[in-house]
Amino acid sequence: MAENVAPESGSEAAESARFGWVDRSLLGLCLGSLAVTVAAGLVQVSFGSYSMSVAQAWRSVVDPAVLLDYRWVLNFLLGEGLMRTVTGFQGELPELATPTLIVWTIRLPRVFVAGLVGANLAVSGAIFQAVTRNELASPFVLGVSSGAGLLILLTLVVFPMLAAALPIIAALGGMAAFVLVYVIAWKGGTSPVRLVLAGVIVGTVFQSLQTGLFFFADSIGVVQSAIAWTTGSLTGVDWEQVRTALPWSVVAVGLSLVGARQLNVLLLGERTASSLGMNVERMRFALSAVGVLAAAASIAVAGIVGFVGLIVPHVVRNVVGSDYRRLVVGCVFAGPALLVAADVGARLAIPVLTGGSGQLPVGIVTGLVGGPYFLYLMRKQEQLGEI
Amino acid sequence: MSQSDTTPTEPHHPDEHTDCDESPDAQSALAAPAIGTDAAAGADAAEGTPFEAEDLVVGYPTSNGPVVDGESLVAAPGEVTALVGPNGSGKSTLLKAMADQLAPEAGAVRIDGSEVADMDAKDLARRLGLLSQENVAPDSITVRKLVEHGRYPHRGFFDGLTEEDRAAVDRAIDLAGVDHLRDRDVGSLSGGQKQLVWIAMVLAQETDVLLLDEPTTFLDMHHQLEVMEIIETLRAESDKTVVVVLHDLQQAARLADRVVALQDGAVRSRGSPEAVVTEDLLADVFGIEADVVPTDRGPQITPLRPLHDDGGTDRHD
Repeated sequence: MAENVAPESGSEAAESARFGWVDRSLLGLCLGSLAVTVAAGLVQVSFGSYSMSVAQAWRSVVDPAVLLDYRWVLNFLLGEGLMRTVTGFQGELPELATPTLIVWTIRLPRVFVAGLVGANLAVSGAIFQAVTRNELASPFVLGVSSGAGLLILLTLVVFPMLAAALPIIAALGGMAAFVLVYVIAWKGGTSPVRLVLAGVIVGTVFQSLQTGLFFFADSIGVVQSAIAWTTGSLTGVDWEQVRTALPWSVVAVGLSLVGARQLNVLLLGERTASSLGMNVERMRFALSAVGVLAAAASIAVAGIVGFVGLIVPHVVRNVVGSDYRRLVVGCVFAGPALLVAADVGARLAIPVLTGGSGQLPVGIVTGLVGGPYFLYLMRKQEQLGEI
Repeated sequence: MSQSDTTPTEPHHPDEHTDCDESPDAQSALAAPAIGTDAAAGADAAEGTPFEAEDLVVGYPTSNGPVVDGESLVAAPGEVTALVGPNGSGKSTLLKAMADQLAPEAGAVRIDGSEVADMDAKDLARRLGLLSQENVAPDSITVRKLVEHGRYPHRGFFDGLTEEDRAAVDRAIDLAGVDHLRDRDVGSLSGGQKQLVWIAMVLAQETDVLLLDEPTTFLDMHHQLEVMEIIETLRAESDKTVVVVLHDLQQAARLADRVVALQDGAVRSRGSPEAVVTEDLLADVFGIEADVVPTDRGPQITPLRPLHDDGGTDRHD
């Protein structure tokens, strides 16, 4: 159980209030998660088709030729075109050693994307768990995954010429499904139960349509690509994906931190929130929109990765308690830890276990981890469900 | 603090079986003498925020016909008004409508002259606090944090807690008598302690009008008395206008300056506890035979037996 900060009273309370909510359990969780993320990230950069020693790989990660050269850093974060506009630099970028180039352009971006996706999904799940007041809610509870999945299949099977825009189409599909869920649930207002039911309705229909579309796929390649998208995969991600996800992630995480107190009040139930003067409908929609934005950002770069948004807020809540300020911060650290670690499994499982080559979609690994975790919870906790 | 201090100087004769279309003027006339009767309790007790419902028709989408049908109610400013009535008489529904939590089909609720339906939600929450019947909070929230949520309507979207907020929270915790619990997790408290904490949260809102929906139901005797003590303190030391739904008529008789008895969504009787809590009313509205003995803590009720429909007329004294 969370150890809470000492009673604040008098004038020193004002001083400590700003960061008084950061307690030992939260700090421990963040540092632990960070350690897992870094460790898993280092494993990720150490293996690949280009053979280099582990020491060589780790040295490349901290290669000053990249870290201390703002042009390289901006080149990765903003893209070459924008970097040249911002810096006014027109010449050739200084050459990098081959290991550094491999690590920085191929292996590291995958770790960063995994981190962003993990943070987004975890925060999004935390938001939806408050909005629906159900700790079994996930980022996809309001139809986001089925909407995204349907449009992914439609694009790949029916409109292959739009494949380049797939990330955006998938994210838009998720948002459209969310709006549809809201429209269905609305009857002079919504309620958590109505929203979840509407999510099930939209999810069921879209899922069927999506499965139906598989029959129209004309090659096994299209099917595999569709499966990779709908189970979530980080194969072949690049700095491009970092650049796609980063701004939205910053916005979504920022907004959820700002909205943490509103989420806390929502946890007291609609009636109390409303008698405290909250416009519950408006707030619930706005917070859901932030959750959908975070989910959409992750769908755009990695497809539909399941379970992360369900498990991570749950684990974090068990450690730091239900205060959303702590919970959101905890999720920002723990989400990446889970996803980066799971991606190690996704990338190395086949070579290590069978000696073959190939990668699993990371969503398969998170599902394999997530199922047993819930079995454990079910056995351990009497009540599972309400926050 | 005893009942006799605050008994209105001019006792009202309750017109039982009040009609639904009773004019609002009659209501204000009824309430008017209440102002000033509390003068003995404190210098500022004559103040208070007028709070009234006029011709309120309230129903639920699922119910046939309105639950409250065209009722008017004037809460005595700065005093405690108790709503009593049997199960299903519409007292909680009326309270919810008065707190703007249910949109009435007709009629209006006014606080200090302005209609609550037109007020901004936060503005209203700064003037009117409502304690609902059942409340839920995460188990791991501390008492202090929960009470701090009572400051929600006073804080902007980005504002932290100000010195004033902290002072209000401390006052509320103090008044509700939960100082010793302030760092406990809400999940570790008993039902009675939780109720006191919820009352503290509503008190932290520091509103002029306070509506309490059955605050003593399901509590053990100790915590029932704790809750009643809080309300008595409010009556004696603040000029809050309090409307409280009570299941227990005895508590209403002891606690309230005025009592309003409802039956089937209509007001059957209103006035001072002595005038409302009578053997006739208990028979007509609550369907019980009871002895009522006036005491200096309000009328003392001894329930004897339930009256059945045919027994209502041949009761004896």
